[in-house]
Amino acid sequence: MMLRFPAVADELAGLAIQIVIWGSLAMSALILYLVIRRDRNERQRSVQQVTARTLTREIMAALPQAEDVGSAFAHASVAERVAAVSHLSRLLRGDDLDRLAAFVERHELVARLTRRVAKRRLARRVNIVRSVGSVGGPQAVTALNELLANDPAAEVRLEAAAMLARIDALPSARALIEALELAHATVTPLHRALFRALAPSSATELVELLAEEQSPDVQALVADALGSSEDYSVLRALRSAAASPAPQVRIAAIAAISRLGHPGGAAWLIPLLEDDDEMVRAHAARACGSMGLRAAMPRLIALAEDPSPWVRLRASDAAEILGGTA
Amino acid sequence: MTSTDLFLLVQRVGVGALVAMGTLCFLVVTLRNIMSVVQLVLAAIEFQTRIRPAARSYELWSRYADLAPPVSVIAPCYNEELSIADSVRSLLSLQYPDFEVVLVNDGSSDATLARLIDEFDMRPVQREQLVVLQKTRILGVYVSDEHPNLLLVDKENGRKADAVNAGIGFSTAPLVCVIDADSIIEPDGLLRGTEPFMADDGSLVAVGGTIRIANGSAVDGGHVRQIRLPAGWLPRYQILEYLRAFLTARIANSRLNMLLLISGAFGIFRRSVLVEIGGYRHDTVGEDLEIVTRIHRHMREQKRPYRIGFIPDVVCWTEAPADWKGLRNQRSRWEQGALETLVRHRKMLFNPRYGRIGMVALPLVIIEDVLGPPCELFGYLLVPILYLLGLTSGTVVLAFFAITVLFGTGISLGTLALEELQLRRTPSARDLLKVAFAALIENLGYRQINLVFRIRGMWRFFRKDTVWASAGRVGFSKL
Repeated sequence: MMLRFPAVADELAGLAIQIVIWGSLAMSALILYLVIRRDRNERQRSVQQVTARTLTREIMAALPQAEDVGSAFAHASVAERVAAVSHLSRLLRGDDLDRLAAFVERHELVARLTRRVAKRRLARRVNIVRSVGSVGGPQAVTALNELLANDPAAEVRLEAAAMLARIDALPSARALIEALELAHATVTPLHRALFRALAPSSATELVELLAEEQSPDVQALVADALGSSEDYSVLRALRSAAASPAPQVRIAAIAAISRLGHPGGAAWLIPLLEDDDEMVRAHAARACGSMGLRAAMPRLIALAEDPSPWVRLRASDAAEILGGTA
Repeated sequence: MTSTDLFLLVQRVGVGALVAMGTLCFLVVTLRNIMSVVQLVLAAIEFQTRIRPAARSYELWSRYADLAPPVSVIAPCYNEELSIADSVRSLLSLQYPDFEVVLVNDGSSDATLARLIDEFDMRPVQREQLVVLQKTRILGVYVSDEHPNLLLVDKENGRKADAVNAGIGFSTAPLVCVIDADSIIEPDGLLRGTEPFMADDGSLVAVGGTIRIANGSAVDGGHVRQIRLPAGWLPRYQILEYLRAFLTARIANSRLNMLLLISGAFGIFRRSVLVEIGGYRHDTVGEDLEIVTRIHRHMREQKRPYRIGFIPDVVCWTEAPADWKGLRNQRSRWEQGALETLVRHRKMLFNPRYGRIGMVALPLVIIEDVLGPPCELFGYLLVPILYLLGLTSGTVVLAFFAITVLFGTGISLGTLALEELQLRRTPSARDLLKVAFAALIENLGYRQINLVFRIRGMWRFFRKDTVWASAGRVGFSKL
């Protein structure tokens, strides 16, 4: 008896042909639909641009008085209204911006955006947070704070915090630490950016926090933020941070004093060139260079013999900036 | 046993072998298509559920520039005197708060070095190399007073892997971005590429990004000024291949944390991890696949938590081979590189110690790169022969061609639809239709010729041919 493909192969092959034909037809139909949609969009682009401009003009005209807006606004979708308001919020300042916030409240844009937000999937919630942040105003701040405090997803809370930072409405440092669970989570550059945004208005609270019992990562986060406080009264707190047993806190103190650029930090910064930790020495060398501390030159020159190549490199760069050779 | 019996036995064994081979061919092409469908579905889910990159990162980073992780962009260059100045100017104009460009002149025999020194007013300096990973001698290091973030390393010729290793040794940033000198990075490509590191807990060790083909597009001053579809069909077919590779395969693999390949044209790595594993290998033509596989192996052997990410957004443009010879060289090299990596890391195959990489990702490479090309190509001949010998039905023959040719078209169209729905970087509706048409005809010849090129790569692998065959690019179109 000759070997041949079994009969079941025919059945499977028939099934495969059916799947392939229907699958390919479906994909062909989809791409055809997308081509037609794209073509239609390209033809309507100029109309859409005109509509967007009309919408913007109508909103601008309605800002001074609490009257109804025109027909373009009435027919626009929530997304189109938000896009127009978001565009204007980047252009307006002062009283006009306040009037735009009042307009947003009158037309309940934030409420429309955040309706049933808890039931949306994660990516959609993040998009809603971004839209609310782009609209701005007191209602947006309330909604974002609500999401920051209560949303179950860390991604949404982080996005809400970033949006609050964008509109200079971050809550207190303690509230932020709690909402972002920083006592347990890994501190990332984004957290550091948020705390730096908070620093100019919360220097006193940050100094108090630095004195409290916190994890080294949170202490480093707070110490780093003090460098953006624009307040020289934090120098004493930074000096204490520079004496911390945790290297990341000492590095954060160096980064902070480097940004503040106050020569008062030199007294504790230069000795850090002899720290036990190589990364602390490297950061200190870089800071001495950027702060122009010529008093550090002898120690920078001595670091040319440091066992760490990173320290040698940073010391050499700093010495070059200060006009010498390490 | 009579001679007739012997003949019958040989005939039955021969026929049995043919049927077995036909069955294997059928199974392999079916498996490859199932893989493609799964990848397409996973990619669609990823696009649907992903959190899109936010402008907030760029805003916060522009306010607090020193928080952006510093990046060393390592660009190896060899005999590129005509284009190198434009490429470097393009790199220096990238939108990123803190980056340095480390150019490595890999022993060019033309005037690349002189051109760079002259164009960027570079002067020699004494610079200590932080770690030595290259095999060849460093001839000099140059800096530019005009561009403090530009460093030029001149070294003896040693191919791309060696040049990148030299660059890693001189780089000072925690992240290194490895590119080809002729890669065109999007102005915000570094921002997009490093965005995942901004909110990372320290486990992210590498990130790849989507690369597109720039043939036909207007390129000026090292930037893509206007996206245009290439006039030739060969680059158009490659546009589809790149879409399938980047928008389905890599996104799906990345979602399952089994990404094995970050393109050599653009990849961001933690410098410390590259140094730990000794940098790129010099003895393979597929160094980009090998290094990611080795990172997986290293991290899993050390039982360290890690991730290798992928961003679907376009970060970089590259020039695809415009003629058959260049394409042949490129595809042969890719195939050879895949086989070299598989053989070098065979210990990981089906080894539970390496988790999903050993149990799933590498076996899939075997189906795709070892069994796939010969089974499909052989199947085109064998399945009709089986039919002519009366060993199988016409339905099976039709099914084989439907699965390879027709379904290939379906997958390509599905990927194109995904691109249009999510990224929309095809210039116009008319161009979208042209690419869709290319998807129909690429399966009638181009696909099969590509299989021949890959089998040539297998031949090179078995011959241990280490000659680097150029992809023969012709340069970008100007505005």
